[in-house]
Amino acid sequence: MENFSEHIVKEIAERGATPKPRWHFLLKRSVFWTLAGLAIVTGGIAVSVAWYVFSDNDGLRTLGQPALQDTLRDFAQSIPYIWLFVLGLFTASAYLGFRRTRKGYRYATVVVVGAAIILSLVFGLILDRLDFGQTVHKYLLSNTTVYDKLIHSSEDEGDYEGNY
Amino acid sequence: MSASPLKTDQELVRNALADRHAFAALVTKYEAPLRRYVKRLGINSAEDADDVLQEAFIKAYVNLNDYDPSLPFGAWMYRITHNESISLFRKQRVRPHTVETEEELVIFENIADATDIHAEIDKKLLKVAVHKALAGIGEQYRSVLVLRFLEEKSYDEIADILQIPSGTVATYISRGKRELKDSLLKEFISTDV
Repeated sequence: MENFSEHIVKEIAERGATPKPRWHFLLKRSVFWTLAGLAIVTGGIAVSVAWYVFSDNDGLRTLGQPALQDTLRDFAQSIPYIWLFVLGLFTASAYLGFRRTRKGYRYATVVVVGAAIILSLVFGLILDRLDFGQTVHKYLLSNTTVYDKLIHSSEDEGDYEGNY
Repeated sequence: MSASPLKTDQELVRNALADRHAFAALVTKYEAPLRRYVKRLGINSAEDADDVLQEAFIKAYVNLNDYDPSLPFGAWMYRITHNESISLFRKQRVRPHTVETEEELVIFENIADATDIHAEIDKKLLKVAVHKALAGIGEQYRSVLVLRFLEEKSYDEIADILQIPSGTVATYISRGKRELKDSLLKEFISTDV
């Protein structure tokens, strides 16, 4: 009677099973790293546009208003929620991509999500210094109608192109 | 074919990649601990245990190039076997069975010690009840308790096997012990002990 190890080897032969090549796993891991990286980059773009829209839209100036209620209302209206939503979406993508990498499971959710947000913020502020947020914002305003509606949904003044 | 004690797992993996017959050495080395593990998870049928181990070893062979040599091969095999066991539970949609051997009962006492309720309940009854209660608690808690108290794995090893952060392992152990304790107390109250 064959022992268990012999049975397994026989079963492997009968099924014609062979080890998947190393490149298969390298490619798989690369896909998840790429997904995580792209998510950070896209999150950074979201931050740069959000910061541009917010700072260009009286978001900072309203903080000095005497009436607290007006300050909070204007401040809330100045936040580009759509870009924050995009940032959240890509932070989640970065988290999922990273968790599927070889040792991604070792890190706590709060650490991975926190790191993804910080990286997106840093990258976004760099892009902002290069006026990338402004470029993306104006491009979307000029070339799409949906974006205009989305970005203006919570605001009633200003043309969002830096012209007042 | 038997595993040479002089060869490391990494060498055995390299040999298996070159010649499938050499994979038998890894099967021989890990069959017994993994068989014990699936039984402790609640797979008592020898046939089911054979199926789980067979699928786990074949999966390991097919994915041998994905094995990370920075981890112990045993942890990797435990992970695959664990996933196969959970798949079986889900396929059969049944709760795990309890284990009955005297050796198991002695080890289950380790868990009873950790729940700090010896003073409240008779020790002998507790030993029997613990393994019954273990089969009734949440899957993730049962897994960490089995790995920690029966397989005597470290937190890091459990984290590698279950692919969760070490901090989560600690949380699951703590919650698992609480759930086990509640389950035990409920059982003893219901049987009026």
